[in-house]
Amino acid sequence: MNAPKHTLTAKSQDFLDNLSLYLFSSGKKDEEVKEIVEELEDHLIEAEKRGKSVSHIIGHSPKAYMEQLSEEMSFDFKWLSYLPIIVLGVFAYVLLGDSIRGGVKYTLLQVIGYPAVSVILVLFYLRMFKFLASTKLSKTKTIITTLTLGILPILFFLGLMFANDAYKTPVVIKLGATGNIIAALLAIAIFIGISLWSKTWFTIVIPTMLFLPEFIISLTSFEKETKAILTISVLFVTLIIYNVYTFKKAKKENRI
Amino acid sequence: MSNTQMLKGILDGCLLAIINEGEVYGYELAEKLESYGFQQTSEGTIYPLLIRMQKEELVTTTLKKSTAGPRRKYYSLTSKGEEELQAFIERWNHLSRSVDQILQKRGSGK
Repeated sequence: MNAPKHTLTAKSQDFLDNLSLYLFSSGKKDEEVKEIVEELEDHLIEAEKRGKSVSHIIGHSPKAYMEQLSEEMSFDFKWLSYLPIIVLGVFAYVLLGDSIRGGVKYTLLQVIGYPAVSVILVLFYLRMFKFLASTKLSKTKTIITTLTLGILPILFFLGLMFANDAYKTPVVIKLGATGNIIAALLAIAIFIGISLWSKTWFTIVIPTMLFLPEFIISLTSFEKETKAILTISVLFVTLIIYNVYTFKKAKKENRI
Repeated sequence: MSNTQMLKGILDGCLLAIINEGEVYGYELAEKLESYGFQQTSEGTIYPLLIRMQKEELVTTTLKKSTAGPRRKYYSLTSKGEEELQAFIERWNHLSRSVDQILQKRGSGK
């Protein structure tokens, strides 16, 4: 879109962003969400040209207005299919990591735990997105909430790890050398599959960044400690590069 | 009873009537509504109503390019929408006549 465009005030743009997030996390149909956001964008542009404020358009409670719109829009059942795919993604991630690090071996607790934790996290995130999009929090509260949301999956998976050590449940899956190679290939196939399905590079780029350096370093003949340090530093650098890249890209495409 | 509650349903009919005058897009529609004296309602109120009217097939939409900004969605009435407008006009006439009578009787009674 490179047509000369009237730029919206930050407040209006914020409202539109929050509205899409709210409707999206309420499971509304993609096209319907796009349509109404586009329509309101047009309305806000026209209104701002004439000096009207957002509250003149949406009233005094953005939340109430979002709810009104949401009530009239239909729920997209295609949405439910995202859940198993996210669980599958987590599964592939865990599988690939373990097969590189010397062997797939899962206890009963892990086989049940990983999918359960993934589902709980996804449902929780959806609720939180909806809440954050419609509620105005102070800056400190926003930072705390975002941090908690970021740390939560780590806590959950660490918890699962500790629980697995504390409670001995029988090993249900254990793979040998060939099995591990097959498992790794399977995980890679899942990543590629999800990438094709979602039409994003995300599920190929992230695992490559996380696992490829580790895999290559594991083939070298360095000392164990050197390997560990190398792996972590390479990971750190790639993450920084990736963040800078995505930030620059967002900046270019967007209004910042 | 608050103004907004009283307006519900009546707004629907008014939107149908304005759309019946000719194809309009959202902002235009809100402006026309305002010019007829509906100033208390915030402009965005029309969109949830429009979404519902679209679902009930009272209106159809076409997307057209606008000079600046996003594509613009234009509304026009379907034949079902025209029927609904006629029904609304009848209901409204009946209702306003009754309300008028009650208010006038009370006014002249004292």
